Amino acid sequence: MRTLDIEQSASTPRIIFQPDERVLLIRGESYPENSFEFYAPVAGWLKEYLAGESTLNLDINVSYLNSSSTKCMLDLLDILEEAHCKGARISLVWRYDQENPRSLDLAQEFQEEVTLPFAIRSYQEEQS
Amino acid sequence: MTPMEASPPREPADDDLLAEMRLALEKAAARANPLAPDMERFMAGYRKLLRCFNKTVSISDRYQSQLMEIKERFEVTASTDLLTGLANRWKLMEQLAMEQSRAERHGCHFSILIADLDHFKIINDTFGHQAGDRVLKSIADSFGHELRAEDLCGRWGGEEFLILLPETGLTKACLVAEKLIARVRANSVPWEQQELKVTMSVGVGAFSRGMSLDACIKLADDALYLAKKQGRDRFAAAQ
Repeated sequence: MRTLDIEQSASTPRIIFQPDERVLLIRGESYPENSFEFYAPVAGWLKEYLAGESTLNLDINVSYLNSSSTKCMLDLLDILEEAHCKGARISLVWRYDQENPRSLDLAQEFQEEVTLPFAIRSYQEEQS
Repeated sequence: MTPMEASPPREPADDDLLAEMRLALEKAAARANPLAPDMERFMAGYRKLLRCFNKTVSISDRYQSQLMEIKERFEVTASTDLLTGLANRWKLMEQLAMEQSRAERHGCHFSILIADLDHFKIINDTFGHQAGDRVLKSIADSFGHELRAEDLCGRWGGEEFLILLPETGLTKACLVAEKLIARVRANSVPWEQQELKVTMSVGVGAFSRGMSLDACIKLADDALYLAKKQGRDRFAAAQ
């Protein structure tokens, strides 16, 4: 299995796969100069992983996505949804900021897009 | 927190073009057109794209609203003095420049007051900075009672305030100065079984056309110096 480890920058999130728990972590803000270029390897990795494995847990904590990153995130969800429909065990936790009322609405917008298990938790909950 | 369960199926996206495609597909299917399966595939692809597009737009709008809210918050913070809640020096300068250009264009006048608390250092040195901050805040709060909505009062420096009075000549500005001084004189802040009291001196300057802002501020500053020299707890006007 290929590893996936992308360092965080000011405009791009940290993306890392932790094989022990089969967790794909996405953390940070996302407004790269070229979102499609940035997310292409992630989508590629995801497809490759799901071709061989059937369990994946996503842990997503992004406080901001620009429009093109939003499109890329929806594309990633689409890949996951497809795997879920084919019987893969996919689960996703979307972390939102309790102190930002819009953050929960946004989480729900993404949640609406998929039928796979999609939990919304505050990231304050994660820290405590 | 929402439970970790699979959600109901997604609502399919729809628009006029999709409705048209559906009709065409029905016709094609009825005529056993060999392209019908391809048309169906394209239609499904289009529907997916449409849904993704609509979603991207609505999510982006939310993120943009979020950014706008943050921006508004920053604008308030950037123009407010944190301790007193009054305008800060940056905001004052901005408003002074606006008032100056208005005065130049429309020939209206305005005055400024520069107010300085007398011997304020003694409060800080004797009772500590927390006591000093409490006094500053209390005095800043009391100014609101004497000012109109269009006036702007800000913290100019440590214990210095600048008050911008639009459409106000020197005589009226002196009346305002007198009232503010009386407010400060009457103000007292309870602190460790004592009442902290201060007085304030004010310099009044009226803007006249052709004058630079710096010159107008200097007028008020020089008048303040005069008020201090004359014994404090009073105002002086620049003639």
